[in-house]
Amino acid sequence: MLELAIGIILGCCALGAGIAMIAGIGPGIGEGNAVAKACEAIGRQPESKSAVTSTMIMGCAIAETTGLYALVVAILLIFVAPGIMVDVLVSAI
Amino acid sequence: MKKIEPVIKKETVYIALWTLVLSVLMQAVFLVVGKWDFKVITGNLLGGGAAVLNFFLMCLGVQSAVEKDERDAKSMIRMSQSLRMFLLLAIAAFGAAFPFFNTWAVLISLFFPRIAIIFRPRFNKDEGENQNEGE
Repeated sequence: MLELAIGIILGCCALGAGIAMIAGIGPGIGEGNAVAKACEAIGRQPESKSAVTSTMIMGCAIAETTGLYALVVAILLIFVAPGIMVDVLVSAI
Repeated sequence: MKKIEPVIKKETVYIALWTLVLSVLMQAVFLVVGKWDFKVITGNLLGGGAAVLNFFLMCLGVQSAVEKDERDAKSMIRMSQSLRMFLLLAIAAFGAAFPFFNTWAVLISLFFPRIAIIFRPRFNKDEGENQNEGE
């Protein structure tokens, strides 16, 4: 019975990590759109390339944080959460 | 090899300096809490290094993308983001799986560039004010 419970915990953690990583798709799409618009802006005003690139970099870094949150949640679910949950389960029994 | 634009060097140095400052702050917090050991330093080095490397690679990706047309730029940035995410995942998993690194130190360090960017407008504002005073 205990093995089954541990198996369910590990399975759910792995499933949760996989679901969390879906959030990693969003930043890629967002950054792609932002850079495409930046290309358009630079095409219109080539002299503003440096300013646009600088703003662009900061924008991309901020957009990427969403993916990082997902990554951290996934790592915690895979490496940290199972140990804690199994400990709680064993101490409860 | 392509030349790195000065704006990218400037931004990367800014992020690296802030990462250093925040790393020292994090070490201090771990010390105060009483959880400090050698693993915190190694974890901090791994996470901070990965964060700065990720930022620099993103800058290089943006530099290459803005020279292409819209469609190519979009697909290039998407590809770059996916590859960088895999790189970060591998580094974070390495840091979490091996006992030489403190997992929390690795994961917290990944957010330092984001924190540095929060303070960015304030520094830009100060620079702008100084320039206006100069004029």
